[in-house]
Order: sequence, then structure tokens, then C-alpha cells
Amino acid sequence: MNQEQIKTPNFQNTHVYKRLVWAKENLKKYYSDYRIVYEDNVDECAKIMTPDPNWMACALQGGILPPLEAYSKLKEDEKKPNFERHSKGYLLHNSTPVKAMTEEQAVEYLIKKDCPKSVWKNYNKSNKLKMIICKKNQLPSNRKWRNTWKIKEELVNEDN
Amino acid sequence: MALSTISSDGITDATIATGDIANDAVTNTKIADSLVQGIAAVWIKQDFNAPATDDSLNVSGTTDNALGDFTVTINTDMGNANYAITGMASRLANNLNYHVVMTHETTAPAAGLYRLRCSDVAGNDKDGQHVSTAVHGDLA
Repeated sequence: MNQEQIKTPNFQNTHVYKRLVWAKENLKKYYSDYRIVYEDNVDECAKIMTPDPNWMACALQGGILPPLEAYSKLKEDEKKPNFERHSKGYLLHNSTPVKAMTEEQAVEYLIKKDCPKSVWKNYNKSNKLKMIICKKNQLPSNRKWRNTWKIKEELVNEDN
Repeated sequence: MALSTISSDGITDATIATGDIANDAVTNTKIADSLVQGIAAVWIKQDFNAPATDDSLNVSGTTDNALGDFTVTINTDMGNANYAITGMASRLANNLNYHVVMTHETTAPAAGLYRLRCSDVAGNDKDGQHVSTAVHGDLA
């Protein structure tokens, strides 16, 4: 995909929602073939995360998405017992937007943003991998037995 | 400018000097800087069966948790979890079981995500072919 002919406006201090509206009007959706497969509960089947095509276009374009730290701060606030409403939304809107990422960098960003931290932080710390990144065509094509899908035990954890 | 000077024809061009509307008045700039309440903060059209996202706004990704069970992660977080989700699901082609979509019973909506369950009218989880959801509420 080549979108470098479209120049991203200076979006710092612009509400992220407005940036996304701009992106929707100006960028072409990008359907990534990458899939993030993870298990966060041994009693449940594997979960498969797919990057949103509009989001991926923003990630590749650069200058639109907020830094990961902004999301982390908001998540921390939301966990507090007296949380009522986000008061630090400005961190999303006022921080310097992240620069253009490669597709692989965008997938890593998405994992840290949307996967449970307990999964990606320790994905390779046990005998069995908790998370793998694969291509769409590596997943079963038939969803008939969807609720039995698991990450293969034979997959080698190279760090152990 | 006193209000009494407005004629029945309305205000003619250039009647109001810029200085008169600089403070506490509604201007195009101010309108442009505020997000309009009432527009969908998030929307997405998914095909659970493919599975695929057909189109969306303010979504960073989707997670296929199981049959008929998907999570939508929001790009710009909502202010809190007190937002309204509306949704609709269709049946699969050549399948007479109608599908409904609802928030999943195991996971409450959060500022950054909501989890959906799609089932037939008998309560069996199903991968709806046209699952649309929209969120209205306050953004962070």
C-alpha cells in the first residue's frame, strides 16, 4: 500500500475521533493478513484478534494514533475503585501522535493496546506459548469446531 | 449592537463587528472544535462467519473469542462504561434461524471495549453474517 502522497495534518491537540474521521475520508482501508492468536484461560478456546482495516491504515500512515502510554494511563485509572469517568482524555488527544509504523510494528502496538497484559507480558514464560502471531491462511478455514481451537502444544517455545 | 435594531428582514451582512462576537458567542471555530453529541462514537459492521470487519469507525480491532462471541476494541476510549450499544444481526443465508446480538453475559462493557454474543432465537451461539453495532455516549 502506498499512501505517502497523502500528508497527515498536524494532529497534535486534535481529538483522536476527529483524526479518525479524517482518516476514514482520506485513507484506504488496509486488510492485514496478520492474526494474533492467544489463550488467556486454559478452560477456553483460543482467541483470535484481527486489526481493524481502518485502524491499520492509520497506523501505516502515521501521525494519527496516540502513543501507547496514553492508553496505559487511562487503563490504570479505570481500574481504580473510585473511577467514575476518564479525566485524562487529553493524553490521547494532546500527546505527540506516533509516527508511521510498519505492519509488523502496528501489530505489536495493537497487542500491547488490546491484548490482556497477562498474556503478552508472559506469552513465552511457560511450557506452552500463550500467544502466537500468524497469517490468516494458517487458521482453520472451517468454523464448525471453533470452540475447540487451541494453540498447538507442539509449537516450540524457543526461549525455554 | 442592540437587539432592538434587528429588522424583520434579519441581520444584514457585516452588521455585527468581529469584536462583538469574539467572546461567549457561537462561532464556526467553536462548533468545529466540539464533538457533536448524538453522533455514533463507534460503529462497526462485522461478518462473524468470515470472520471479517466490513467497515467501522473508531475501532482498533476485533477479537474472535468463540463461536458467536466477539469483542470490539475501541480506538478512542469512551469516557466510562455508561454508554449505549445498539445492534442488529442477520441470519445466515439459507438458514431459517434468526440471529440476535447482545452484550456478552461474562464481560461487562468497559471504556475501551465491548463483547458481543450472537445467537439464534433458541439461545444457541451462532456466527451472524451481518452483525452491526453502534455506540452512543461520551468520549474520553
